[in-house]
Amino acid sequence: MKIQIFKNFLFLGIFILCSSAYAQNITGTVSDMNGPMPGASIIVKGTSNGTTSDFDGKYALDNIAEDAILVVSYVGYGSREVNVKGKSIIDVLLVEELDALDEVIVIGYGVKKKSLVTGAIGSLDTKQIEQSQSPRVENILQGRVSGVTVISSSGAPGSGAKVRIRGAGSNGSSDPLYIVDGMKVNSMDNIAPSDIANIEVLKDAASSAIYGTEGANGVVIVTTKMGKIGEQVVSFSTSLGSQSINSKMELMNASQFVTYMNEAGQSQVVDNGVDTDWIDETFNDAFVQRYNISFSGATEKLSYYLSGSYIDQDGTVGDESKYKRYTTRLNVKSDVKEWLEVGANMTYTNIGNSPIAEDDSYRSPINNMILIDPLTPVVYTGALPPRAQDGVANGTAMLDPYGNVYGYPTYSDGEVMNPVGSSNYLYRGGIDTDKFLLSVYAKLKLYEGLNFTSRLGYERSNTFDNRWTPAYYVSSEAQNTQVSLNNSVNRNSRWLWENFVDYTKSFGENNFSAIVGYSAEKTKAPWYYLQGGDVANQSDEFAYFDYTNRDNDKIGGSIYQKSMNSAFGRISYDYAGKYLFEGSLRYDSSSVFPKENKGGYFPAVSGGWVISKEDFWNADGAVDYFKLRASWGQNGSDANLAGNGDIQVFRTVDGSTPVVYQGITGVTPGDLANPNLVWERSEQTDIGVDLRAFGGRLNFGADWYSKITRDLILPDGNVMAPPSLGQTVGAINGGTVSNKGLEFEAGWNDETDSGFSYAVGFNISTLKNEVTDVIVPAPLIGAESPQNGDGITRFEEGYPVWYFYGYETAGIDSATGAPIFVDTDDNGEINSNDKTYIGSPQPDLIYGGNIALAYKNFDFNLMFQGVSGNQIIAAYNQPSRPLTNKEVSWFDNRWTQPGDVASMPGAAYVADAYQSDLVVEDGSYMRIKQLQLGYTFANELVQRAHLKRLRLYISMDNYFTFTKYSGLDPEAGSFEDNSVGVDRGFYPIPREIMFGLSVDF
Amino acid sequence: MKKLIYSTIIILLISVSCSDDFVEIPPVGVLDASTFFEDEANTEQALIGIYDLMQYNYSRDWTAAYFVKMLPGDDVIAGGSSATDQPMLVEISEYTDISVSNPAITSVWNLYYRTIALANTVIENVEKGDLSNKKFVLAEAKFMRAWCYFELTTMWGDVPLRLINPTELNSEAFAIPKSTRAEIYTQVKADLTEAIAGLPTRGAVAQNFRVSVATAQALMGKVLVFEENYTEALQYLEPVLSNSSYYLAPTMEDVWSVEGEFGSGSLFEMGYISTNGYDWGNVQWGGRMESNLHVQLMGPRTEFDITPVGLINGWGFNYPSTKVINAFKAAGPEGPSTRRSATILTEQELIDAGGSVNKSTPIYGYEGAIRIKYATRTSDTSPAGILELNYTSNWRLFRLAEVMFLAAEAYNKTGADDQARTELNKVRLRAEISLLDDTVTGDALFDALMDDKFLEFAHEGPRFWDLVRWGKASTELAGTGYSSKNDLFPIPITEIDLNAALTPADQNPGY
Repeated sequence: MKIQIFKNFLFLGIFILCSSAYAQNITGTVSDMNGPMPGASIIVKGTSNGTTSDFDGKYALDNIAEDAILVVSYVGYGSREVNVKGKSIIDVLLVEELDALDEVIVIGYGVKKKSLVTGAIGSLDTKQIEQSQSPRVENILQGRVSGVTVISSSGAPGSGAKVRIRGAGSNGSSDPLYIVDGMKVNSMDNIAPSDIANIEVLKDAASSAIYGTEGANGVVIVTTKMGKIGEQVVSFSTSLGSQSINSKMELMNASQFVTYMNEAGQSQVVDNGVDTDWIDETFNDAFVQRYNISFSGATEKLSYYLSGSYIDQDGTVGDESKYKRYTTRLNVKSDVKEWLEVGANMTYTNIGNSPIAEDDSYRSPINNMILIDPLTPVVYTGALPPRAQDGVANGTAMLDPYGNVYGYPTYSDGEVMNPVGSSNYLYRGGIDTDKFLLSVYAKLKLYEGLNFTSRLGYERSNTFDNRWTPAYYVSSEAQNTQVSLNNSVNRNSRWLWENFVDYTKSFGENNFSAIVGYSAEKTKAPWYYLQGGDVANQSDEFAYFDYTNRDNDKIGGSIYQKSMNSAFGRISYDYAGKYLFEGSLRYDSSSVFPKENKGGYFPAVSGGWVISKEDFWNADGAVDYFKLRASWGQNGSDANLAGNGDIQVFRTVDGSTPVVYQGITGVTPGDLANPNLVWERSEQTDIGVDLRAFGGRLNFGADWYSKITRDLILPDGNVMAPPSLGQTVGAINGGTVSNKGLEFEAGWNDETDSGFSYAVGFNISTLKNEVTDVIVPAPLIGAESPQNGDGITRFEEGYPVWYFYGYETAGIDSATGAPIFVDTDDNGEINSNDKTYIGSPQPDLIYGGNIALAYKNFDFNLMFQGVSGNQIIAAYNQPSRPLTNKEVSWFDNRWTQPGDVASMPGAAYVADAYQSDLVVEDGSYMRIKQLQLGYTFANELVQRAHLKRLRLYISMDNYFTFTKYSGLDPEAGSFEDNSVGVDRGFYPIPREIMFGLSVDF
Repeated sequence: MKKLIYSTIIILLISVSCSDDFVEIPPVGVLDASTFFEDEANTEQALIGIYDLMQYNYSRDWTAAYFVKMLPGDDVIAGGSSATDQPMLVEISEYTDISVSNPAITSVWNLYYRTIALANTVIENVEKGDLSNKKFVLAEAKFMRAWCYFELTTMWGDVPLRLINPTELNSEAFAIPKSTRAEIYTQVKADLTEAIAGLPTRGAVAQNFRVSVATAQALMGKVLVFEENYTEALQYLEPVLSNSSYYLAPTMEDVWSVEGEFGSGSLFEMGYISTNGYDWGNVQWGGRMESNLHVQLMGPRTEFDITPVGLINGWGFNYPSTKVINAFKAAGPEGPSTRRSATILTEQELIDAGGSVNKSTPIYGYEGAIRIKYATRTSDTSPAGILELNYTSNWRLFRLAEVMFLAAEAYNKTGADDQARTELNKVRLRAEISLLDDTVTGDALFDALMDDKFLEFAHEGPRFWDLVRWGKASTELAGTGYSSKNDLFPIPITEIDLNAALTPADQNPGY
């Protein structure tokens, strides 16, 4: 691969050099209002001939034709064209582009001036992206764009996050659509943030309707970097640091545990002198290092960007949980002919990781860390107890690297294992993923203002999961008596071919643009899984299928395919930049819907009025820009349906289990055919204002939106089937969800005469989420918790999506210590019919903010983010395993004797409380995402070292969290859509302290 | 330049014109139901599918119909690691606040109906056609449907009677009211009549697991006994008793051994095999396994050293109750070939055999003996996989001995006590307990029948439902949490919520 990149680079270099020059010599100075400008680019128009200004702003060009035109440019300044006309000295004054409203932002299939935008679009620039230490794009959005909720599912290295734009619109996946350089992508983990030039978040339906399908949950458009004219830049940055867990969670210690268990009637629990703090023991400090390097540059006709990055992040749980990612990218663009522009964006990524289990109420080191009794030692130091002796003799003991035996739970039983032992010993092998993303295009300039673009995108990921489990035995519920290999091979590929024509025309003050296009895409995802054992030797070297004894070998696999055709169009019109109008329509036809309902139309309209451009507006007033805008539109979602749900079938395999009885193959009926399935459709209205005042120092934006999602696709239609139906039901259209909210973004920035500059930004959004209709008269049951048949989350009319369900308590009975359940149906007895709403994972308020200060060479940045009004429900408690530990407030606040007025039940009634609001807590938090202090070295010093820029910084990420939540991490969120806010034991988000360096030369 | 514009338009047009085919992707790995029943072999596959669903229902890990049906009986303690290990099972066993959302009860109900729905599909399609195996296929499918409805009405009373599956996907199409138990019996008997007409004899069945005409006759007799139509019942039971293909295996040990599977006294049996060699990585929790995972649940926990008696530790469910232990002790001696020793093993017997019990902490559910019937025998699992996950023990769902008890009951109720004693003594002889002499008649004979059926079918499931239909539950279960509301299981709450023809008033009394 490296050789290939080198070749590409060489090829580019040769390409750049191919040019000719003649005639006269020119010199001059480039300056701005403050004086000479070093590093400005001076190019002879129509050639690749050019130079950059030196430290004093001076430049020299030889052999320039008399009639040549010089193009002078500098980032952030308006570029100027100067006719040579035989002059030999040409001084150029560049003017800073002060008006941020002239910035263009990326919209679907095009770009638009910010001042003319009529939809609700959030935008992040390179600077904001560079500041973030996050290796993943999803996390960068957190706290930076109003209306966007980012729930980090896990703090495991490399893990992603759930992005919700304007709330969860569905009972299933509400992930936004991700577009990278025009290509629709499945995942974002292969995009290095350092390669990203800007990110746009299309929030309202009018902006995203051009994407029709999958646009219902918003669209995130990522544009990667490209070389800039005049700058041949090599950038290198690195950061090194340490991650650690700083959880508020505190568990009962040994003496508290013994007291508690004795009070619960478990008299066999006695203090054995061991007192292990499992949270402390399970989490380690872990190293992280990141490197990025890029080469970029451009001439008038060709620009390129070449980069590589490497991340190596250790997990804070166990010694083996790791994440390594290598990325390399090449972006090129060339005006090959006057009428033809071609370009390509290519990235190849390799990801290696070895995760541990989490989000599991029974079997994961994190869950077990909370549950295991503190009387268990991490490892045995003295004589081994009989269990450990047996384990060593049978080869089923878990051993640390020094051969010590990890402690067997002294009292806890069932699935509970030593979390330090299991995280270090059980998770063997890893997952190796190759990802390739390509987007190539050709743009034909057919006529003035008329272009035709054909763009082909291709995304491919190959995953080799080569994990295996060694033999161990802790209890009959926690055992694997022989080595088992659990491998899988997945390939996921998608191509997307888009053809569109765009046309722009102005008549006087009437500006008109239109786009019409067609696209086709196809996804193919075959997979294989392989399981087997036993092997002769319990080691990585034997963890291949050639070395199993074949006794338990199993294979399986299939393919997922999906295709879609689309046609789309958009018209934009504005009069003098004052009255703005836009309308779009998309037609999508997807393979996953029944024959009759494959297609769907998705219309949108929007308008804007820039009041500040009206004659009556006082141009000298404080407010120098004021825009009102409104939009309405519809989007669709096919929610990753399997397709062919309209055909009644028989299967010889049920899930992955063959239908075989006594060795003879049978069949089982497929899901009941549903020929009436239609697109899930969300309709959104948005009204907003944009405002700038005090000479651009104040920025303000506000939006109100109402988003109604109808015909929700429920992938599991069994929720509507009475069990006597006897047939299984696949995907159905099942209900309506409403999300309403207000979003505000405000910023102030200024610079004092002494050179101190500051910028303060804040965004806040409200969210009201409600299920307004469900197809069946009964609630849908979502997440489960141990021994609870009613489920702990439900989807029901009149409630937030997947709210928490259980017993409401009215204190603790002071006579018995039992929790008092509220008899909600007033029938005089307490049973499961009394369960009710006990909380919601949906926040009322999400907010984020940023304070940036700079003085001389120092810069400082603080970023925070938070949510409020949501709850978290603990689902790690195990009623079936009474001898398990708990969070210390169960002990501190418990009832002990008649007459006690306690907030937590007596030890004997603890299992009852697991299904009540006693395990629900306020999930609000505010987190200082980043504190960063940087120093940029002075120019003289830097230049002496032949550098362009050198900056050092120290950054503290996720360092401080303010929350009342007593669990591991308030950002805990399940991977499952129906389990948001359900804490089954998650890898908490580590805090990081990072030292970084970035240098341009 | 114009050429370019034209070619652009042409490209777009070509792309658009091929769109219809482009978004058609044929399904993979499935057989189209609309043509499926045009072939004899396919219909036979559908029958295997019915057996497979039955197999699934009877052994689904924590919600096996085998166990759920048995739990309210006084022969069984639910067990597990503690009272809170599986509350859904414990609450059935102890009759305490059985939840209308009890997942075990819901699963069993649903899987009977899934079996019925597949039978309905087979019956509906095969009746329309004219395949050469039509008569046989209809007979077997109708037997299975009858079996499931009979079990449903036994445990739930009045239940929805679905004979035609909905084809529309909406709440109205799914709605169906309850039918009375009498209506269910009528349908069961109608199906069994056709099954009897179409099923082969035992000697003619293609595979040993398949039901024969005698199985259908025996079930018909059982239904009639439950209806208290004893005279007619005997018309179906007697041909089974006199059928030379069925006879009692010499000892109870033979009945429960792997060699005894699909044996001479077995009318209907759920088969389990170990060819899949499951391990901890691929075990299908809650799934359709070929091996009998439920057996592992029922093994004594690690407090017991049971290796000397050839058993493997399990997860502690399904212990014998004090009542059944005492009844066995009272009925007769232990011994290698006795019924007692083939059913339970007392603590003393375990210790005598070289085993041990660590009672330093109380063992939940253990009352002094472990179960030997359907035990976690090393010999009943396969070393090719993980021993715990590959038990091959078949559930003997319908044994000849039960036919003898049913016939004895019918004889006793119709005044033919001599014949009743003859049938009961066949079983007692094999059990190696004292025979009934002709002084035992009338109600006393019935009591003897009741007491011996308790032992013969301990840990097999009929006990509680017999007590209910005999009106003996309140006396036999005195001192437990039993009340008459327990005579039926609650109808799953999801059925009442989602079946638009039902209202909360349709819930069984007391729930």
